[in-house]
Amino acid sequence: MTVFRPRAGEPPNPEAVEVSVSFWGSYEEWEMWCDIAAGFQAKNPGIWIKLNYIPNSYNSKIRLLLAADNAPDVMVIQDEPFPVYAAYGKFADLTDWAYSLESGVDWDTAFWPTAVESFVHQGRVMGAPIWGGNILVIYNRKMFRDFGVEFPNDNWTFDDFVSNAEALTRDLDGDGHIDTFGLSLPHWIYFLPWTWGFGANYLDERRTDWTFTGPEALAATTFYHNLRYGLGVSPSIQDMPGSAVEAMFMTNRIAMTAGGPWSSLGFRTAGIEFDIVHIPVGPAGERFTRVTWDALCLFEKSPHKAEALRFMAYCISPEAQAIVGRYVRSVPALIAAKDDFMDPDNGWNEEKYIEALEYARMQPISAKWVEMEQIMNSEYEQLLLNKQTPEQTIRRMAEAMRREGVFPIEAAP
Amino acid sequence: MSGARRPGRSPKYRSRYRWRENLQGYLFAGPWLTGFFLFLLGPMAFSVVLCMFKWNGITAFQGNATFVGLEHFRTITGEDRYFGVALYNTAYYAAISVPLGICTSLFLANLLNAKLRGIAFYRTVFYLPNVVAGVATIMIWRWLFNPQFGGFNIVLDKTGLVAAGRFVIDAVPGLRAFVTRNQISWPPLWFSDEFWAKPALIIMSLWSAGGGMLIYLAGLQNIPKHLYEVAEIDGAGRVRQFINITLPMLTPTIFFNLIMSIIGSFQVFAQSFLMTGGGPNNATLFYVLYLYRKAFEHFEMGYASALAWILFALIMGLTLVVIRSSTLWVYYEGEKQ
Repeated sequence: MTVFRPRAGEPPNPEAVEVSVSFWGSYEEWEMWCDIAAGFQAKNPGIWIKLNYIPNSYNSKIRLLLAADNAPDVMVIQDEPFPVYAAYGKFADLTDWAYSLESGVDWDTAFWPTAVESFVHQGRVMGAPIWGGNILVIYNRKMFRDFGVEFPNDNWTFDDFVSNAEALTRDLDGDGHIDTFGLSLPHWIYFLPWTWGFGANYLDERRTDWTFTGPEALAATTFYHNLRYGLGVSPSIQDMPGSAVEAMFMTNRIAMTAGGPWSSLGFRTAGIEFDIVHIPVGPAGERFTRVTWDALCLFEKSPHKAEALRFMAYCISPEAQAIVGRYVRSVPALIAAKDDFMDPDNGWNEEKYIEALEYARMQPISAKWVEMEQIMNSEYEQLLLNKQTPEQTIRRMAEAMRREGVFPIEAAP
Repeated sequence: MSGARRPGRSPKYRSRYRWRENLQGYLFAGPWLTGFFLFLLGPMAFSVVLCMFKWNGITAFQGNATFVGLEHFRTITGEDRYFGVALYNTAYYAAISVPLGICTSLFLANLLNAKLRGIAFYRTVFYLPNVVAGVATIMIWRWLFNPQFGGFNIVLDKTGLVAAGRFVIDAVPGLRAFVTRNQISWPPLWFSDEFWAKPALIIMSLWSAGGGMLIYLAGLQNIPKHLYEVAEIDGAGRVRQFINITLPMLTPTIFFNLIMSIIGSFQVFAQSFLMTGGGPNNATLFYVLYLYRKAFEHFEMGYASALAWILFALIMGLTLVVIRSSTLWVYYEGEKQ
């Protein structure tokens, strides 16, 4: 039973110092934050955690609050917008705190390797990683079973992936229209594991230049385009007017989708029969996935830094990380909490998200990520509407990056 | 004011009285004036300065802003392809939504000018959309435009218009090829289709026709009744009366609504920001949405300010054209011909 736990209003202790914490997410995530705040307040009655829940347009609102110097004391920040904010000097330097006893953890060994790295700016720690996740394939078990297709195994390849998708794409009533599709075409960010599988990369490791050119980029883009237009295993807008991918997955019209643990939150709540499998092995014999992390960042001008840091230390403690794990929304950033994330009785293999951390890699994020993303969204949209070829898409992306001054960037953030 | 002197009042007293009167006036206007100077004129003046600087809006202006002169204007008019796209989309929207909105409001006002039982109820009903919360409205319109189970496509289907449209597409030579080449959907996919996204937002703009309707209604009720009586005696029918009396007498109201609609249509933002995000494929990237992106997503405050001043100049230019043209078509009762 869901119990409504009001968090607004005045703190029970009128002399308590108020620390505001902003986050986004679903109702379940709000519940998780309530649990974390309650756990902290039980031990720190002198500090009142004011939860600032921003369910929609989180990044836009945080940007405006930062611009107005009126940001919450503690903010959950994704690794994507992090370099921009960090470059503007809006986050407090946490280096000394991180490596002191106050943080409560051994900063170099307590977290998953890429988690800490994601929130370092010019050699300084600017964020305390709280959770993350990677992209794997989520599949509808019922559809696989009904269509007599074997469940994918962890050794499957790109070819197996395509043949499964083809087998699950069917015109059930013979009216000439496809009724079920093998997969939903992921947004280019969620398609990164396949792009990398072809050996292509968008940015160099220094995050200063655009590298999505050459035969690898062409192979990846052609594969992406073919899934919809060549093979037809993924629906076009005309095939799914007004329907969300999640709705199609839950109503057995899409068999596979790419996503992180947060993607499966809704499927779990709805009681859908699904499972998770590793990313297929690419043509070069390797598999990749993208890992992404979120961190708690401290507002540079927070008037309650000491109290905010105590709360941050609690959030990365085994106790709070166990709460994160139990909600299975994301992989806890603290390695010690990985067992809390895994539930052997839930019927699906969430442990794959932990296993995948071994081959996961980060997408380097540049200081001009927003501009880069908008150009890519625009060009990929043209590709997926079949208005330009893969060759044109690659060329136009590179041209736009130069024309709009997104790349090259003089210095890495 | 006659200007006649009151007996027994000295010039000193009169001066003090006038001063007190002025002070009272300024005190009453004070809250508005404070808001105007602080929140409108001040930021406007600052944005003139910003046009000539590169500044992200997050860090302090002093020490972080770089003077670039007129570079932003050169980039906008010379290299920025999204500027052209946004301007085209906005002009398209304005060119259709303004006349359509005026005609709809005028039509509704005429209908609701009748002396019927319960007319106040109908007037309230048509005005109601203007006071309904924006987000609730958007949710309703999202549903109405849903291609699978939305109200519009159901009506199109049930009335046979979907079948009729398909017939026309096949019957008109070259139309099928045109539709296929440009990937135009039928029945419309509305917000998922580049071709239909702007028309969908234009249809949606009619939702607020009640605001204009109310102003026309006030205008209609100010038209002297004897003009209609004379026309009736002369044998003029309803249509003739509308063309020769109602329209000319309403031209000052139409003029006002036209200017307000032009300004409003060039500032269209919320619909595309909330419903389409500027898509698909930038089909609903309106000018102010683009300006917002530059200011609050790319943090190019100087560039966004330059865009804002270009928009201001465009609206000002269009408004002046309409004002200049008003001597040709706006009739003011009692004015010398």
